[in-house]
Amino acid sequence: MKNMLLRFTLNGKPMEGTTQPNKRMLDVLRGDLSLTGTKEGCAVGECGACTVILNGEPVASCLVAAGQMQGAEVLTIEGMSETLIGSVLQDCFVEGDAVQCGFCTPGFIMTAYALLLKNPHPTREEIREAVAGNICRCTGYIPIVNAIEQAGIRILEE
Amino acid sequence: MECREYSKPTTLQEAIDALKTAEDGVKLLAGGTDLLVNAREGHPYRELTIVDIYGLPELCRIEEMDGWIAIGAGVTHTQIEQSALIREKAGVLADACRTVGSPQIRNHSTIGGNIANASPAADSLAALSVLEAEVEVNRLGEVRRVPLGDIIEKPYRTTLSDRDLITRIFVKKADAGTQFHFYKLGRRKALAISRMTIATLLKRDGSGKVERFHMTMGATFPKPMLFEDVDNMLIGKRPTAKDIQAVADALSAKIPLIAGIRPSTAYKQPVCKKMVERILSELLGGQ
Amino acid sequence: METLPIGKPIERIDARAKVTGRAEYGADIRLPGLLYCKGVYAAHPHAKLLKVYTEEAAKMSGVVCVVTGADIPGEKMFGELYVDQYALVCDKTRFYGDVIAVVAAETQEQADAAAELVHADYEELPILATPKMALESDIAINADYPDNICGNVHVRKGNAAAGLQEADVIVSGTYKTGFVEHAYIEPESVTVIPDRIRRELTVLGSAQAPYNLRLSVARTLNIPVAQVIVKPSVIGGSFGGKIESAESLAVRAGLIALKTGRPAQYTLTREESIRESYKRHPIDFDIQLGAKQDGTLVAMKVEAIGDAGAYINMSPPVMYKTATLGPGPYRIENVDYNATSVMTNNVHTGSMRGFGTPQAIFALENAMDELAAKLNLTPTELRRKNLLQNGDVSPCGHLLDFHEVSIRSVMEKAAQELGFDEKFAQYAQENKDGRRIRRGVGIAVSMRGASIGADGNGFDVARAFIEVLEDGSVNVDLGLTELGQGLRTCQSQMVAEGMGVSFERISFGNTDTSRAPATGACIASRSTLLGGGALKDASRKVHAIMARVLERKFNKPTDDIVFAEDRVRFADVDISFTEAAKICYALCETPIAVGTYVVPKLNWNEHEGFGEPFYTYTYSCHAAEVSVDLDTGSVDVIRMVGCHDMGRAINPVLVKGQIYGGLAMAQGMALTEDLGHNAKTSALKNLNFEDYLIPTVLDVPDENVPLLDEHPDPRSAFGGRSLGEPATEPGAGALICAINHALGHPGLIRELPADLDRVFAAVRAMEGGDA
Repeated sequence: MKNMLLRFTLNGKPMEGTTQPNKRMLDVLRGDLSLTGTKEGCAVGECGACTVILNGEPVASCLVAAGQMQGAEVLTIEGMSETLIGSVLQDCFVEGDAVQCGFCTPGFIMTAYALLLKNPHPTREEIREAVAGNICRCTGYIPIVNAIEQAGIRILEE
Repeated sequence: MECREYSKPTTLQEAIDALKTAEDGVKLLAGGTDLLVNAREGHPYRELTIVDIYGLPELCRIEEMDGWIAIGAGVTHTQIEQSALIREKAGVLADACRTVGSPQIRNHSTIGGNIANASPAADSLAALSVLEAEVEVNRLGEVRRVPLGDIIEKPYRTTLSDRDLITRIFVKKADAGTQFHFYKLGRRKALAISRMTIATLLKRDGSGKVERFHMTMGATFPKPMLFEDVDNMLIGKRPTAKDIQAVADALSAKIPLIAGIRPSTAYKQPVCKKMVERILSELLGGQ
Repeated sequence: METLPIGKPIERIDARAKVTGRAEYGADIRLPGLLYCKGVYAAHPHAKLLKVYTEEAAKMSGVVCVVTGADIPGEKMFGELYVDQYALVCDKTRFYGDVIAVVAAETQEQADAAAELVHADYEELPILATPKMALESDIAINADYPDNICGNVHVRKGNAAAGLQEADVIVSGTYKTGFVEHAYIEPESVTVIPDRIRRELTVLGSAQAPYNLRLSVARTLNIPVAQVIVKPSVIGGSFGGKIESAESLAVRAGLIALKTGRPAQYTLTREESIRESYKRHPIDFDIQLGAKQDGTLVAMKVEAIGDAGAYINMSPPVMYKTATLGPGPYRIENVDYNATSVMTNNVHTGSMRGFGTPQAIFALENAMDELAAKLNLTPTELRRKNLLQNGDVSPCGHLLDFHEVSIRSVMEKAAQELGFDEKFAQYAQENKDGRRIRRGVGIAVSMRGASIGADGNGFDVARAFIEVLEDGSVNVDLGLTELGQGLRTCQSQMVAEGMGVSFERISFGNTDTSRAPATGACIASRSTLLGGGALKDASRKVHAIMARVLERKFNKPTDDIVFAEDRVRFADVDISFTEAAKICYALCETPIAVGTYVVPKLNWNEHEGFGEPFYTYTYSCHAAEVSVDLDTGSVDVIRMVGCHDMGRAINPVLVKGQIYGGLAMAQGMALTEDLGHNAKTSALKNLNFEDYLIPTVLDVPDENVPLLDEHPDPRSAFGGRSLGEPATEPGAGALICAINHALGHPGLIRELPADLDRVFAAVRAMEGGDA
């Protein structure tokens, strides 16, 4: 198995590295890059804890082959506080009690980030549809939807 | 995903060449939402060369041609869901794609992959059936186009060889005024495997007479199927409640006939009957 | 200046780390030389383990060692209450999740690959896949329990048999629940680090019960307890599930760490987590309820049989809570509640949020609805007639004269918020027109005993350590773990109030068994009550030390000393808390103390099954509205309301968060969660989330409402009782009552989960098979 030289941008910065292209993107992030903010919950794309943004869209990084990071724009939770949308989301999650155990939180924030980028003022129904692929066992979801809704309002006010 | 080699062509021609030259068995990788799950058990791709065709530009277009819409095999479920052209002229497919897994899955999985995986519960298949879908396949440079039903043989088995590359899917463009309906029955409202899907295409003329009608189920038969005998039950008619009932009976009767009598039949057959009645009544304006 | 912090919705201490991805969970730990582990599971659920072959695996690239049961130097078994669990099987396998060997390698991939090469010789034994089979068999899963019965609690009050005779109306029937998985989003992960100098291990990761874990590791690996240090990482949810399951991993990884001198990390895949970790008890209930024509309950007789699975685990205490809390918050003279747990070759069962009550309340509340229908009363009318009030005696014989028995008020609040009474009548009427999509409402009540109860008489203790530092900051160490429920924040608020200082002064230490004295686990909805008690005791002691010092310094009496709002006042002295702290240190005094709180001994007669089973209670009510599609069996939850009296909400926002989460968890148990248990082979089919279905955001109604009905509890240091389990316990019952109401047939659905097939089949049976 030949290694592949991957070039991509990660949280706005150019990255270059060699790795096995058949690895999971999740393992490149958590392993090669030691970015452990993205979590592994199920490994079969059913929980959303591994959600990152690939070329503007939320994807389950446990189901993306590393080779598909080539030339891509990748955003992870580690880059969120440097963005307006990301940092407002973080504030709203904290203030809105949308974080209990927190394991699902990075995935939700990434999905919400992509949503607010495309749709700055989503309705609650649009928010719920957007995060339908993110599972939470602690919060019962409503505080999370509240936080995302609040973030949308707050960003528009900025 | 354990494999022998991994190649990432940047054009369709490069992909074909990779398929030509690979000595070992090959496996095409599109989005990966099926393959990376399969890879977790039993090392199915250990001896194979993975050819990653995700994102190949030639496979990612949606175009109108003659009476068809040509959808690149690499088009994602999200792109189909959001395509204005498909929503207008082949809406049942957009609706079906909308129900696949979750936004994360839809963003990174393709219509070609959905067909090639041939899961009996694949959400797109019933919709593709009523759109009389045809599949364009490129085998090492030779192109052929065949009905969907000739590609999928049975659950998880296609008639494709490992060198066959699905390039485009053609669906019949619907005339203005065509009614579409897609119903998915799952155990929960997102991230749900279909228990049953029902796809409907219905076109009536100005006087209410049915000109075109296709209705079939997914997650029910071993392969995607259309039933001419059932569809004909409404053609040329201004359907009454009795006609609707007859279609419901006939369509649901196909279940034990084709899929055999299984534990799920006691559930699926009556549910199918009721839902067909409900859907048709709704589409035909509450007859 | 912050006034009293209790009751304020103060932000969670750990939230910011979590939203930035900085919070370190078990599997995030990275260390030089870290080894990765992979377990090999039993090929048969009940078989003598004759020989394990590890040589091939040991030779594989990157493999550092392979361990089996033979390698365990100390006691082969461990366990919280009953020492019968094997981290590595020695004699025989008892369920499919038993582990026969563990491989340690340089990378996870290498460990995984090598593990496939481990195999074993077995002598198969008969598989006892249901309690019935286990009771009828002469094979014992655990030789100490020849009849496979490992727990029994029999509550008796009055004479239920006679009571039933005298009843005007009786309902009788069975209700069943199945295995339920905790499904925390973070799979278990433990990292064990060996000390370089002495035989000492540090354990990190997802450990809900650190003091129990250190005992288990100490015993199995022959290490003094003081040399097992447990420092739980940030934990991604537990709900009771990361107690023994983390201990198994710690014993295995600890063994490897000792053998190799290298740190070892053991993370489960989701499939492994579901396969090996213990579950909620399936319980079969045989229930008889009798009442007078006017609706007064006269007798209740219940036979409950729980599936303990392969190890005893928490089965006896679960039966204790099932029998003592299963009768509900009702005034009822004659009760006979017999709960028995039976060992089988299934996955073992233990702590899961509720601990027997979600199952029992589902059964009871649906039986109550059946009774109501027979009496021509609505569900709320029947409950109003029988709910406990101040001065009543509970179904177990506990005189409730020590706090506000608010269950009636709690129920009315919930019912009103949902519009229960109006909708009950309206939907019953509407559904008569034969529509195929029918709405229904249901309501369920519960009373939950705080903490372990009389079952833990004498050892239900918590300890806390408070240290005032030179700058007036306050360091707190408490061994109760933050699982995501907001414990650190809530306890900090209590310390601030108890110490009389602002919230910002409190530095709440990470859980560390070498810093905080042994305390019982964060379980059983006990932390607020017991943690609060220990912190109050510690505060009192620290204040006493400081008062003595200040009396010496100022030469004035401190009988009237008050510590409040960051100031210390006595006689005519008024100084800041910081100054008081400085004075202590200047005079070489030590303002440090350990507080202890022991739940007072309860007057419970175990033999008779009568008396005071718990120290205090939380009262709860869940109400649900559903819509059922008769043609598909689909159930839509329209809305749920959860109303709770937890005494005093230390942090109202966190409390509401628990309720939102509890409602969703109840929904999953009621409607969609099924592990696919095979009643012949004992295997579980649904080992990951594509098949084990937890509610998604689209399934949980956006309109769910959490309500509080606070009546501060004089028996609690700060007036508050815990809510973790009450937050979910009546939910499944309410939902099934609602479905049965929609279908016009109380008691129609009697088994969980009420999924598509079950509801559809019930409808067909009801409609005579020919819809």
